[in-house]
Amino acid sequence: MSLDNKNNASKFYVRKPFLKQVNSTFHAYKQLILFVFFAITTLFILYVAAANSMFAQKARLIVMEIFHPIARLSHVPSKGVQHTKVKAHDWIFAYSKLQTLKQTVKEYKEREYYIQKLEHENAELRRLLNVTEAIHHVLKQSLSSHTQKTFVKSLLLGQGLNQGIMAQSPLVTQEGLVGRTVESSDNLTRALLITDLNSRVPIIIKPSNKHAILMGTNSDYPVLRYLPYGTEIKKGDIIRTSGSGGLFPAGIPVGTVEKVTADEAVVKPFAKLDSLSFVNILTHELNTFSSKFR
Amino acid sequence: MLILSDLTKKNIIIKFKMMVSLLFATLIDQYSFFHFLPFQPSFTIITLFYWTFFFEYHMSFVVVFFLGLLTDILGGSLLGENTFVLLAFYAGISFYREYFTERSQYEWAILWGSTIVILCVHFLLIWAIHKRIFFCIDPVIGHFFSLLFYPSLKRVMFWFVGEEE
Repeated sequence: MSLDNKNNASKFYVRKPFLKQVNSTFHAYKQLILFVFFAITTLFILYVAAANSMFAQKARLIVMEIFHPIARLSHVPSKGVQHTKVKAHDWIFAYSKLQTLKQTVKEYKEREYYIQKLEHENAELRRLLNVTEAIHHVLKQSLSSHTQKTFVKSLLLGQGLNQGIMAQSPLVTQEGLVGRTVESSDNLTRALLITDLNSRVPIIIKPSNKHAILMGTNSDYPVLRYLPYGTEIKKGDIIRTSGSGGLFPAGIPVGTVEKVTADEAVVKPFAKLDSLSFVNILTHELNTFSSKFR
Repeated sequence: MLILSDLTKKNIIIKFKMMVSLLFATLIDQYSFFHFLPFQPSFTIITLFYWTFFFEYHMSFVVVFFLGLLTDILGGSLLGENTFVLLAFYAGISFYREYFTERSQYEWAILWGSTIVILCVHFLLIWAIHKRIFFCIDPVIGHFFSLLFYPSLKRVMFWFVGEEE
């Protein structure tokens, strides 16, 4: 029996969204009323969520905690594929990687002496000037999931407040800045990538030392906005966090200027955001006046 | 003792299968199972289209509303963003099916049309929320791949539901 015949044969129980042919007036409008009701409800939810309501965040985290075990299971094959891909790449390019690593180790060993000297000097100067600054502890985290969708770029981490991870902590890798945590529940944390449409990072452009804001565009390349008038930027300029606002510590490498147009500058992030397996979370602990004289 | 007719039993089973398939599609979508951006199809959209087009009497605004909320919650988008898009998608297809044709024809035309409409709705919504004109080619490519995946999904779904095409 074809589907059309089946539909016609079962008209007595068929529920249709807009119920064109029905007996009572109430049922004629029931689905239409439902549509209007849900559309208005959705717009209200959207308005509340856009206003950054704590209630919306809490509700989201509670549901995420419920679905997290299922989601983790669904993510297992994906992780396996990614792991195999990385392993195969390592095997194929093992020799060239070894040569690069040898060269890097040699360079680091040469710089070690100078770094120790600078660290000592820095500590001494801080002590003399009584500088108070936020100390960042690093927590290494594996990713639970990686939502790189066209309209949202976020990460889900399998640990939360119980492990000391709070909202608004910067996320970095060895290459550079990844993003920041936005919501934390007891055992889950959601983070926003620097490429997300909602992401804003205060940055400084080197070597011109001009400040600007890095804005996500939901593409792979965020852009620079609010540049001071007359700022000269060229391809290859280095972008680092400026530390303004206090959310991101100053000096974290972010990326390089990839393209400059009349309206904006496009930035290529250092961190490989599409193939993240681990991230480091910088958790704040203020070594300030209050903690010193507690 | 509750005695269920064959029709009621069948309805319950189909409803259960519908819930499972929609939930599965949402989880696959939201957890970027394939890591193939921008060539990542939206399984939620094509699964919802399948159910709306072939089993509209089992779908309802309540199901679509909660599916949308789940998509938003798991995906990390603003609460209500995908919900509104999915509601518009469902309402559009249902309206067309009832007022223009009850027969299972023009399937591809409706799928193409509704996909273009939801893309526009999503861009408009983002413009309204962020006060920014946002356009990038990634969603367009993603939806194109959704359409390419649709015939395979349809076959799998007919097998899963146990109905003949």
